[in-house]
Amino acid sequence: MASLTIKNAVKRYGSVEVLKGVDIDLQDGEFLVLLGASGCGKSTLLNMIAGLETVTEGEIMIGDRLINDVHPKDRDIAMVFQSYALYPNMTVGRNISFGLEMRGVPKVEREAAVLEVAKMLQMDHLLDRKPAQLSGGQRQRVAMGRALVRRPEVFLFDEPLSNLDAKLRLEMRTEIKRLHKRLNATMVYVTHDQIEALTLADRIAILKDGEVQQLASPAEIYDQPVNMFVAGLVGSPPMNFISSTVTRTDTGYGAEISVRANDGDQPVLLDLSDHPTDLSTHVGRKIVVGLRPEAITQSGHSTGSTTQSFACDIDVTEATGADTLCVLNWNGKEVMARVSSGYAQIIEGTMDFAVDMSRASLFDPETEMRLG
Amino acid sequence: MTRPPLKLTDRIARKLPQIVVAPSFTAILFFVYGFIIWTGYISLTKSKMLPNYNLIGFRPYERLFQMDRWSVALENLFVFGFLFIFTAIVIGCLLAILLDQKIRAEGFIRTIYLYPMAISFIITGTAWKWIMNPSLGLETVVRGWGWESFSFGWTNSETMAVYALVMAAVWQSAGFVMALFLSALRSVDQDIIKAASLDGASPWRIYLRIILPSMRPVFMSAVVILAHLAIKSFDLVVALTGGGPGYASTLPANFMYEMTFRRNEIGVGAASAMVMLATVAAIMVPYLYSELRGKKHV
Amino acid sequence: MSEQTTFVPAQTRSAVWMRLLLWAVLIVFAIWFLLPAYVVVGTSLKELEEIRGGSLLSLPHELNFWAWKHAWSEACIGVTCTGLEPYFWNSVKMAIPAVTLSTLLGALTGYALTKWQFKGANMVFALILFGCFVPFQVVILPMAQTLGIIGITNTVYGLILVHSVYGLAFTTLFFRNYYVTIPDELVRAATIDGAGFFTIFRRIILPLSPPIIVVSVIWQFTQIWNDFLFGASFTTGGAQPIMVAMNNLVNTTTGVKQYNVDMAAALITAAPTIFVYIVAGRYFVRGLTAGSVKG
Repeated sequence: MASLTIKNAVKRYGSVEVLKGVDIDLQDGEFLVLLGASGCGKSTLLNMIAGLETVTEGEIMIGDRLINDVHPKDRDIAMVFQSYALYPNMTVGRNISFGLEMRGVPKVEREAAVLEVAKMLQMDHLLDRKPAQLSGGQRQRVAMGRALVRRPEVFLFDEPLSNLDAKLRLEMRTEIKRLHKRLNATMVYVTHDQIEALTLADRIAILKDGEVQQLASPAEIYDQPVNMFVAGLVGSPPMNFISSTVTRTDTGYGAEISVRANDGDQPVLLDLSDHPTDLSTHVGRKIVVGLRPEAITQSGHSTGSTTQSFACDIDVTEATGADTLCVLNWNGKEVMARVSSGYAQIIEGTMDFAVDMSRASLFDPETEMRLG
Repeated sequence: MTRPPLKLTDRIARKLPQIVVAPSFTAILFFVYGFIIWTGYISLTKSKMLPNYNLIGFRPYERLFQMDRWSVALENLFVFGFLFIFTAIVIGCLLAILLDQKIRAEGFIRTIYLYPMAISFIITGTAWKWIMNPSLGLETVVRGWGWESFSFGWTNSETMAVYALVMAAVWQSAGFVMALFLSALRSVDQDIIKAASLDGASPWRIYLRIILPSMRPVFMSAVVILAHLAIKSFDLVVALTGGGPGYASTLPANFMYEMTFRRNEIGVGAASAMVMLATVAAIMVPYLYSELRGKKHV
Repeated sequence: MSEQTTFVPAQTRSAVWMRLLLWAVLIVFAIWFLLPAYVVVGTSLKELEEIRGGSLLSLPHELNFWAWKHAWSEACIGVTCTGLEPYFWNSVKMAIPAVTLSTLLGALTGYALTKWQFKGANMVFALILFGCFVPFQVVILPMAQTLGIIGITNTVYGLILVHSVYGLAFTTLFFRNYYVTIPDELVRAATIDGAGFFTIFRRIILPLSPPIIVVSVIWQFTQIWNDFLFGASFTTGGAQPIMVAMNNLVNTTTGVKQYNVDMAAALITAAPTIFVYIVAGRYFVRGLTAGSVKG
């Protein structure tokens, strides 16, 4: 097992800069998720770690070995691909042992290793099948087996679950998590699915336009997004952004908004007093208040320290089972609130909502960066 | 910490794709592009029986376009090309639409329509020449049935010989055009057809207004391929009419062969080849360009 | 096709007429396509007397294979009377190596161009692709010179070279278009597994290639067997391939015109490609469309 260090990694295709200097330091046994929309450079970065793309500038190290110019086969890595990339003409057994064969491992050892991995993944009965005869989930397992069998220092995953249906995806997600715990191996996992990222990662690196926006634990990313991009990317439904202006109040600072209630627009002052940032320089300036849907909930339910309640008209409700989403209208824009499912039936018209302002994130609308 | 130098084997391995492509690419560069330049050069010389490398400018081209034989060949190419492409597409398209009507023996009929593509133009020419034989061919048979004025001895007629070429060429290629259209018809989005018929469009209207327009790329492909075939046509003329009577049915390809190998006019032969190349390029380059371009955007 | 695209719903009277008309057109065209085959086979089985006296379309009185035998082993081509047999073997000796060579090179080139996208790969492919469409008249003259310089004019080796080179453009196109559909991730996975350029080709790509190999082999075989221009330009006398010899046989004007022998010769010459068409028609059509449409 080994650490992984990426120092100022740059990738250019001609004059197009795909990665603009990425720095990531990964501890031995850490699980890193690279999260971003397509085209953000996350797959390019993964391929650079794998050695499938050259590094234009910067350094990539596994342990203390610089691997920029090391051939993929000598990097001691294994990779699981989105399409699984199983060799269609080989049996499952041959698929798993191919990498060992290429490294000149004797046949007896190969067979033993394949069997061990197959048992671990509960597919020892499938070894003589061809990939075409397997279901999607089974193929996924074979792809994992192929990576596991070599006991590499670093595992790389390139959106491995995106071709599975929702139920299998959930199962395999747990499986990968379990595997990571068991092997305690260093893993880098690329995905565009923020839920996968939140559930799997020790740390998440969020990429946009070839730059790391935030590299932090899932909790930190979720609760303290560094900018509006990260805040909007993580969480489902995404964070509500409410534009307002900072004003001074008796107790500190506030942001006035207009809330649709009882078929009219009512002014409401959101209390910003508890916010850790000194807002004195922001008085009279524009601000964006970021509130996750669960920070706006039915009155009497919120447990936060800075809770304020006021009535809102409910435009639409969407029951998701565990809880119910209500679409409200603040400042003439849609705002999502999350209430307990018990309220799903009764809420119609106007209701009192509690807003937990201690969980609010504040952003500068100019730079879109977090305040404090 | 220092950078380990790249191993020599790795360095060779990285270049392997280029090394593997090199022989094929070099062969094409030399045998296609090199030869084009070579022929282009010869076409500017006074070469007669043997190549002569003294440039004389465009005189061979001037001579070429003064020759009646070449004018006839060009005129024939125009008539032959136009009729051949038009007829082959009309028949191919018709057959494809008919075969698309859930015909029971479709596979069998398709096999019959397409087998001429497996046969060489020499065989096709030989067979049709026999059928068009004035005394023993189809003409005599049909006249024997009572249609006294029936005339099918096209190969021996100065005016009809070109049409004999058209007929044989269409016979050979119509099945191919049909296969092209049929596969395109089968890949038309069925939902659009369903939507149109729900809107009340008649089957004829669906064909004319929806299906055929959506096959424009296939039309283009067919025209380009057939045009290319027409310009290259050589064997069919040799076997069917021999370019005759006289040189009434000669085509540019035959002209080139005649000049180069029989009349010791290598310079003029090369000039005619270059004109053929220019014609093909004028058709193919924009087509290939748009094809490759289009692919990239998808 | 779906119900909606047929001309008419069944039952109605006009629908029946439409159906009859449709079949009539299909059958007329079938007759037209089959006419030459019928005439060639029929004539080849008749005696000369019967041909002169009877109708072109009449069935032979009896199955007489004399003309076939004569065309194969005795007929005169120019002044040599050996039949088509030696020329047939010339064509075989030319076709087999040329097909093998061009298919193999095409496969490797297509593989390198698609799965190892190096700088300029697209340009290389475009240049090779245009080679498919160059009218051969423009290369004949230099080729004749080159073959002379190498010293393989009028030999089977000369034709092997010519057909391999000019077939290469097509085989590369076939394999390139086929390999584009094989996911790149397979090659990436194998690279990480430690396989190199040739190992990946041999162990992973080649086992997936049989369909396109069949297409390429059939296409190349048909093209080479049916070629007339190169054969006529670069060979004379005993070195000619069968297509040239057949044409000479038909145009040999000494003595009585033996139409039955001509037709038998045509039949023998066409037999190998027709055989391929009947056995592997599906792949044949695929080659035609793949080779000519897609860029």
